Amino acid sequence: MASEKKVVFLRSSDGEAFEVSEEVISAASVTIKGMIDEESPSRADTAATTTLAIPNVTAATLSRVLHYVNKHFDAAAVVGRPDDYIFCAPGDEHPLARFDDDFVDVDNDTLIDLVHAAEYLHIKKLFDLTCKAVADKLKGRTIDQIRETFGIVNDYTVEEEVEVYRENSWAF
Amino acid sequence: MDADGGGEHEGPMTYAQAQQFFTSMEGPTAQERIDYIFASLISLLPRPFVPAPEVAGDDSDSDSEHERFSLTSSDSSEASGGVGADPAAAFHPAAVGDGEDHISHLPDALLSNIISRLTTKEAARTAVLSTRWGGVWAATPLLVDDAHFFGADRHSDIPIMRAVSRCVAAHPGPVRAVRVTRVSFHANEYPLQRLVADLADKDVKDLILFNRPWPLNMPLPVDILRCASLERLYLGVWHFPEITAARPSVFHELRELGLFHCVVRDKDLDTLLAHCPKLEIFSIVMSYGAPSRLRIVSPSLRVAVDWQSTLREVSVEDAPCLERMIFHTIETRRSIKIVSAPRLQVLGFLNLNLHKLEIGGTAIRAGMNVGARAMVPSLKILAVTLQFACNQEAKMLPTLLKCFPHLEKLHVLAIPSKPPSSAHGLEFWESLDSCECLRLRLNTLNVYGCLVQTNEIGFLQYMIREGKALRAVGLCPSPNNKVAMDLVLASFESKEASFVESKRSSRGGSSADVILAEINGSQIFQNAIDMSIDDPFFSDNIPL
Repeated sequence: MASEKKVVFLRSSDGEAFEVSEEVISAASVTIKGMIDEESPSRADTAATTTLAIPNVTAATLSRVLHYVNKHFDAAAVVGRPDDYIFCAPGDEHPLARFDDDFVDVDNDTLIDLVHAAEYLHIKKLFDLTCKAVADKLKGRTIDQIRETFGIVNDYTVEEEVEVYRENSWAF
Repeated sequence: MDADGGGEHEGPMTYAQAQQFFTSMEGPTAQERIDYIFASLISLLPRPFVPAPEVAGDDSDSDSEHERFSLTSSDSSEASGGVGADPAAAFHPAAVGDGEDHISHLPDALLSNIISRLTTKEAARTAVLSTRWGGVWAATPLLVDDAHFFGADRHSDIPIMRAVSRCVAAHPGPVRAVRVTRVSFHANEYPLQRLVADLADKDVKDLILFNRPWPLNMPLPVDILRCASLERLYLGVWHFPEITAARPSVFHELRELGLFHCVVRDKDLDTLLAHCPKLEIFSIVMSYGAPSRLRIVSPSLRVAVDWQSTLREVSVEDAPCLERMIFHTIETRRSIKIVSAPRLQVLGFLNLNLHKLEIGGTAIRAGMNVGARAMVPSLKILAVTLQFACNQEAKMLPTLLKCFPHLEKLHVLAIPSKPPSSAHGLEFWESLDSCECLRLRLNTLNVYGCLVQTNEIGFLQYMIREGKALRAVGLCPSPNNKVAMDLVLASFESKEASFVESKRSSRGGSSADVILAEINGSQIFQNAIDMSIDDPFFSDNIPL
């Protein structure tokens, strides 16, 4: 069955090519769907598979993204339809909730690369998931911990810092 | 508010009387009682954009560390930085990488998006990280939720009212959303006025503002009428300001409006609705005395909800887009007039005891001949509440079905009868003829409550006999309901073909397609105001 399906190759910024079902990636990524639609007239009757260049995404990130996409958008692999949250009882976790949690349990650089990739490829669910994961990393930490974790340099002058703390003292 | 339940009083009580009445009762204090009612009001509200830490924190360990937030940046670093117990914090990407500021490589729009997912306090704390973060916080539309001020650090010295005020004051705007449900504004009148004025000035888009009683009729600042950018507004326990010609309020963008126990004069309510040209969802909840009626004239309204209020009359006069009329009526009788609602699809719960229905100028009476003008052909889903033991109500049901010839789903809430079943009943249902929706359209019947008495079973037999399009019957799986359940199981075996098509069987439901049914009031309300849910009366989320 799988062999009948059309596939496309995605070439990462560092030159590695990844195979993915055209149907699955089109459902997931608005950007790639657009690229495929643009290509399609020229390859309608050729047997050759398309290779699309994804210049902004490295192989390491792209392979992660495709792992996510295959889990979430391949109808055959997903229990129920991808967005069918309604079919779950309120207390139930979505079947992919666990996968999602593990997926974003990565170091900050990887996570931020994923945010960029999700934005560039226009995969909304992945974008929401990764932005939320970054937000979660800001929670429950002191200011210094956040600065340290994300390598943020405090460039306030002493006077400015006193002032910004004073203004936002209600939040501490 | 709930005082109308104390039926021995003639006419509406004044608020002073209501408070007195609450205070005079035995048992829980007046405050405890009103808190309970208030909590039930809050439970109807749409969900918060960002859940409060105490709610989300229970199942996510990151929030449990809330107490580690410390007041000053430098003093805390030695103490908390050295702990290293948190594995994610121990991982130090800057050390592994090139010492660059990775998160700050994200463009402002992305940082803004991330900040918008934080609670009010967490978001504001990011402003002190660096000048860039300070700028991004100020450029991110503000979200304020007073629930975010509770949680692990609730022993903060700053009262919530002041924290909310200062937060709005510190931000340049615009204000994306404000949700305040935990503040008693009594004795906070000046800060309240400042807050509402600030919100008007900072173009608040989404506002949920509830006053925790007492009193029950605290004046809402007039500046609410200046909040012209509002897209969604829920107000609770206020005395709504008078709308005069001098202050014409026009809510150009308002799509969703909920008035929860708000005192609004009839005239002001008419004016208010007339000044919301895009209003789609309107709910009036637990209103008491004023307004006394609801008249719907709206080019845009899609959903109207009258929930536990004391309205005497609801009339749908000209509502070309109205799709849903939702009622939850306790104790008070009212007339419901449908004059013009060509797109009305969902109606209920019609209470066959308390509601007098009038369609196209014709009062609907049990047993009458229903002419074309008294029909609503657009209606697809009807929910009714009745006592089958009451002849008048039982006989009204088949007449109603004739008013809605294209009805597809019927939900029946059967109220147990006080006296044991009335004499007739069975003969009535046995001799009753069919009607168009039963012959051709009605595919789903859900019954909440149990069908026990002969007149109740008679109804079920009638529906199964005449319901030629019936594909699914939902019953409560109670032992008291055994006769009804056996009846459905037996009848549907002879209609195998229709079973196969039923929606549930594909989901591994029972072969007899007996749907568990349960009534959940706040769920129905929330479904009703959520247009993505087709049938607000159907609790589809109960596993078989």
